[in-house]
Amino acid sequence: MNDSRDGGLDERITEQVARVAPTAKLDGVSRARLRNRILAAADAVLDPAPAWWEMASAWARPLIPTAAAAGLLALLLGPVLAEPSADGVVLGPDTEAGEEWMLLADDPVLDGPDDVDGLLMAVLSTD
Amino acid sequence: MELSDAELMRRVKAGDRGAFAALVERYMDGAYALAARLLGEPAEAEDVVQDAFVRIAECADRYDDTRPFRPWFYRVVANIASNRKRRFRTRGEEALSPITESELEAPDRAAERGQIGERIAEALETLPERQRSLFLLCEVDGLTSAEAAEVAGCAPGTVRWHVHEARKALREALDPLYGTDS
Repeated sequence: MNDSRDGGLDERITEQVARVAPTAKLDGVSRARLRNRILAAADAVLDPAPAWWEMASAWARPLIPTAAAAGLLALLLGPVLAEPSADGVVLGPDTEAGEEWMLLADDPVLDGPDDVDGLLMAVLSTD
Repeated sequence: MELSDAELMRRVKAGDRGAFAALVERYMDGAYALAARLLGEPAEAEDVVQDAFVRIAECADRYDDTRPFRPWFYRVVANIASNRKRRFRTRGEEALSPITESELEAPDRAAERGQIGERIAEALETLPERQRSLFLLCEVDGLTSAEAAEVAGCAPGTVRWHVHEARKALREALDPLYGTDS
């Protein structure tokens, strides 16, 4: 048997087999019914919450480094900025030094900026 | 733009119903043809297809998106069909027959087929069940040997061997008829 005859015979065999044992097909109505059944059955399984979470996290992802940096800065500067002054004024980098503070800086009693107790006493003594 | 199967599965994993519906639309017909081929009972095949889709929605996170979806899904369909068939057998109920056998018994179809069709039907019946199924899945239903291998749980080479042997048997059965025709 030569190759071309083999090929022709194979084609006819496939054609005949497909007639004898055809592929099962759904008609339009059965297809629509089955589709609806599947979607209804899977409805309870598919949870929409993770989709929302995924969307929110995707939106927030670029902001994470900025938020982390801001958080770190707040941690470092928080105690300094929140330090209340003796007269109840919260001191910040933009707080202008009052006259008494300028005088205190020249006071020879103070050992230096670490002498907090001395500073506090000096402030109290000005009142 | 049409989304890939892997992308749809990623979305199903996140609970996206639209992506799930798209997968159903894409693979429902193939899954039904496969289930019907393995079971031979249309109503049973519909149940198998439904169970298979629900299963992939449940186990979406176990899907490895570096592997093709279709063979994986067909494996799920085949496993469910096989379990269902086994359950019928252990219950002592009438075993579901492969669709080839039920088709062969239909008198109206037999009349249509004629001599060549009859010879093909007989030759198909003489094939071992596994060989016949693999031959029909590849040659009629259009599965690749890799997909049929996934369904049957064997190597693609084994599938190709079965298909080759089945074709050889059918050729031998028909050669006398075609030999006189051509």
